[in-house]
Amino acid sequence: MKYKKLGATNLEVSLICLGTMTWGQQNSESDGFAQMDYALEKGINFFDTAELYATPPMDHSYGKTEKIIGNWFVEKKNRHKIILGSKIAGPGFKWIRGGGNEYCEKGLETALDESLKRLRTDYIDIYQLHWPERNTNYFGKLDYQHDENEKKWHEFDSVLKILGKFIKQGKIRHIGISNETPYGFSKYLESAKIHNLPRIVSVQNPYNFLNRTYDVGMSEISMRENVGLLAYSPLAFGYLSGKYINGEMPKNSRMGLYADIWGRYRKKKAYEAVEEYYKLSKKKNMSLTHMALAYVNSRPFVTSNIIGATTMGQLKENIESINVNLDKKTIDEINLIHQNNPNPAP
Amino acid sequence: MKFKKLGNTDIDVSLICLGTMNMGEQNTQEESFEQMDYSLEKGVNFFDTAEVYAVPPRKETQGKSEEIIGNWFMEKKKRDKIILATKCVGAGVDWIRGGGNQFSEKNFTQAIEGSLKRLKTDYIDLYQLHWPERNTNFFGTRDYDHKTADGVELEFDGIDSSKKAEHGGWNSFESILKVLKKFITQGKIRHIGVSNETPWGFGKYLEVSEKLNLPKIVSVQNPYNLLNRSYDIGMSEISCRENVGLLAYSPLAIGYLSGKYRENKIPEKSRIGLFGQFWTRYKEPAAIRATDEYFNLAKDSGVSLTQMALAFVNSRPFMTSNIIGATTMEQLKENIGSVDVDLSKEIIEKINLIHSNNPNPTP
Repeated sequence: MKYKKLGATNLEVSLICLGTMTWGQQNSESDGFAQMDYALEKGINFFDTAELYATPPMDHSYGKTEKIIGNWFVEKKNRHKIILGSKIAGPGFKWIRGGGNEYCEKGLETALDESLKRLRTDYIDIYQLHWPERNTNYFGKLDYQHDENEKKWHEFDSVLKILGKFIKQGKIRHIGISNETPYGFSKYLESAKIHNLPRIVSVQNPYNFLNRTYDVGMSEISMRENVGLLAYSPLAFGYLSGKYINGEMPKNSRMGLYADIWGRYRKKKAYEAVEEYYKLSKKKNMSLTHMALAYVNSRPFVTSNIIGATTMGQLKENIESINVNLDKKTIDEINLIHQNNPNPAP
Repeated sequence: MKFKKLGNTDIDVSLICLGTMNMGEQNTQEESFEQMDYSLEKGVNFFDTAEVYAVPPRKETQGKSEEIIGNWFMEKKKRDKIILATKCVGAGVDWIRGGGNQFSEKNFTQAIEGSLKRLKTDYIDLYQLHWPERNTNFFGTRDYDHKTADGVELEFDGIDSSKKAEHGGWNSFESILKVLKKFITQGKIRHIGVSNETPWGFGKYLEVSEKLNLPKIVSVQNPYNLLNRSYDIGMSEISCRENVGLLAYSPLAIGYLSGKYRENKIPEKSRIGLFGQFWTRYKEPAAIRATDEYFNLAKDSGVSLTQMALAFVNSRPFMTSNIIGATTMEQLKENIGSVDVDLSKEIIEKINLIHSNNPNPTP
């Protein structure tokens, strides 16, 4: 395994982070345990979850993933071996505290206390805001659309002040953001600097061959401010495993099960781009999965690459990507495909 | 004409700004005078130039555009009618103060004195930094590529960038704003803006001015057109929320969105016909495909591609002014006429669909 510093902290997190959002729906608790055992054995010390999980988000599976992780911590006595990331949900889900804006003191406190209870621990290493309260472009939206009549949302300063309290109380160690844009990223940094408030240590945004929008404006902020990316969806929901090419729809795959919910990558140009990356991986004698993950691993602004799996075979292959090195020529060829098919699935 | 406030100032600038970079190369002084006369008559009160113009940048034509504008001010006594914007060059142009970093007090002093002299005026309304000194992604580079070592050579728009500053070697945001504040106090410049900037630079200029009570930038001059809407991704939110609008350059993608280069045509006196080796930024297969789709939509909608492309830019909420350019009076008339073209919701949706299927082929 390889390790990187988490932002400006002294924590060393594994370059591969174990994503957990399938546990509690596509995966059972015992599947989850087997995945955690294996990942830890392979040197992974970083797990990422969220109060919202399992996915797709439904009221009956809300909190299930955290519970599975909590049970594993207690049963295996492994809490201290893991750097644990979790997230408070943004607005929009009625079954989570009514679905309104969440980043007030009461919302944050309730969410955090309940996550701690489910996770059966007394601290979370990185507590993340799952998505912004304000109107902006994330979850598949390439472009920002201004809304003159936007609802009020909690100011950056006020959110950081509340989170600072939890840090003092020892309930959380560090904070991060997710599904953010350059405006939010900069404002959190500015607010921390001007008002001497806690500084975010990570941004969890999507990053994969079909969506490299992070490269446009976010990556410069990451590099220059030393706040790295926790890349989610590095395989674009499995599209970059190649399993959906030629119109295939495996029965137990995420698309086979939940195609109605996940439309983000089902785009003509995305399919065309997948074909090209697939051909390149064949030419290079490696699996598309390995090429896609190794590319994400290689990016200088990536702190950790959040992989997910529903089978042990997938998990092994995903973690093995750490040992795949792409030569300069392969990277140039990847960039050429990207240039001709830029960001088809933001 | 329509007008918008320039950032948080009280200045009303016309939604169409007259771009001037052809003046002194593809256009003579006489033609340029005619363009300025006509624009002013049509309500355009905003001209944009740069010390590096005319383009393509050459030692022989450096400063020519400013000189022509200065001559027009003198001859027509029109300085007071115009909101005048110019720019200090970034690093990499050998024949301007040696081509190194430019945003120091000494270089700014020389640059501003030179521009004022050529422009035959004693003040500039909007003084802009033409492109960043630091390594970042602009001039057709989609993605940010971090460089840690010095001396890395990059090519951008044909300008030798070997002297371009690398990380650590460029003037800080704070020092730049402090120096520019002096020139504002002296009355030589009124407001400041950035150009070819990225979200990090945009955010830092705002942060530093807020924190240290230094002048706030009032505009960002970046490319924006149907083939390159990367401003929409991360910059436009900052523009809307911080009230610092876009001055859109290349709204016709250096003429590609007039349709004149479709089907492999290269008109003799066009920019590509004359300087095709210099202007490679829009010569991408994906851009050519997208242009064809926009062309067909314009045709179906009974509007010229030029006016559809410009009207779209005019309509964007984060837009302060759309910088059009022209080499003929017909082009100028059509471009300015776009201010009266309203695109229906349906056309805008169709434009957005083409965009969604061909996102930003030429950043």
